[in-house]
Amino acid sequence: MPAVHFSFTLDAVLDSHIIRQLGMHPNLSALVRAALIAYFERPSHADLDVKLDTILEALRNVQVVKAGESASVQTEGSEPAMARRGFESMKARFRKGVTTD
Amino acid sequence: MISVTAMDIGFNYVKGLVSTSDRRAFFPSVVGEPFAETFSMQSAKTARLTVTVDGQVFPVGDTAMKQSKHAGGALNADWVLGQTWRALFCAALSDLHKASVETAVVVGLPLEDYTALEARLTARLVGQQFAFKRNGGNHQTVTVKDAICLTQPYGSLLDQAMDNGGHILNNPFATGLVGVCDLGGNTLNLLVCDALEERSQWTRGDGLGLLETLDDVARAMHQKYPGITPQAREVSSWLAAGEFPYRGTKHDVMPIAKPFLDPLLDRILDRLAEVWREPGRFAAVLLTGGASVVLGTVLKTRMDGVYPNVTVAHDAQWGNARGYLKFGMDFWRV
Repeated sequence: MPAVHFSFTLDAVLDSHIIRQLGMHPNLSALVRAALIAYFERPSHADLDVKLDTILEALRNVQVVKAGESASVQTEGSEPAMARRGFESMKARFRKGVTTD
Repeated sequence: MISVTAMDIGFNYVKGLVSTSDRRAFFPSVVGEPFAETFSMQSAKTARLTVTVDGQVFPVGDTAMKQSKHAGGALNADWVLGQTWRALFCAALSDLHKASVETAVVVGLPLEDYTALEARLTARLVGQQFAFKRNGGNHQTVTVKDAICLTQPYGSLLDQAMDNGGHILNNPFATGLVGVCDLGGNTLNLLVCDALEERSQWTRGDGLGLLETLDDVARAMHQKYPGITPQAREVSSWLAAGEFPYRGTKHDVMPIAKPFLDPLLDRILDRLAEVWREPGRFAAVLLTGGASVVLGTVLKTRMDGVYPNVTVAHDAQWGNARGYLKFGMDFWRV
């Protein structure tokens, strides 16, 4: 494999912990290559935002269930009755294209 | 079982969701002038968003902002009946559906425009076939089997009041008297619902929005920081981040934006006091809409103490679209 050489500089004081780690590692090229690949392939802030949004959205519907109890399934039968009536009224009005009382 | 397509085509951004997959459509509401397809556009394939509608190739979203000298978004309320809206609709369909399909569609309108435009918009969707071709893709035809048009803030409320399956939750947004303050680019929607039914006496919409203020901030930035001519959309993202880049360093955006944001906040609070005269009746108030990403926290600070349980919607710019999808999942029970 043709080799390409790079050099870089560390601060003897500020980066002493990095220098210590490098000194103990048997294959610096493999270490730096792996670190750089991990750095360049890390997810962007936008990727993480999308993942976080997905998780938060999923958590909104999570129920905490005590041991020995079963989770209640949210169906029309277990919905708050007044809200269902209000929603059905709005569905009929939107179907007609009317939104005022 | 028919799929539901939820489409929130706002003055600022297009947001689209579909019930059958986790695909999303999200791009600026900008359509450029139609042009001839070039080799570079063809070779760019799906990376550049263009759609061919009625034989014309339209650059859309970020592609329109980069490729076209005369990119333009929405100017008037009745843009929903025009070619720009249709091109945005087809571009979003191309993001959400990868083949020719039949679907039911939920869209929304600002409160102010609902009565005048709802019937005409719905008539342009129901039973229609939308034929288009995305850059690098195949010809598609999406048939709209049915369509419903909601008011935008009702979508935001449903997002809080329903679960992801379109079932009503047992929470204050579903069961209480709730105010929804939906602040968009060119709209301020004030909706009040009691157990999800609209109370029209406290419901108003008008043209007060963030875009005009963003233009003012952009002009002030151009004057104070030579060498940049920001667009309103850029300023919006800088306000959300709290800082902006200039000559390689980050600067605090608030000192220059605050003199313009404060009068807008005052006008919003005046409007709230005028329409919602009895704040003690409310169980909760929801702050939502794309502009609440920028103004929500400041607005909440000034509303706390007057209104109970003021909540800034999480990920507010998606609230309408998520609510439309939940409505559709109940309406067509998918």
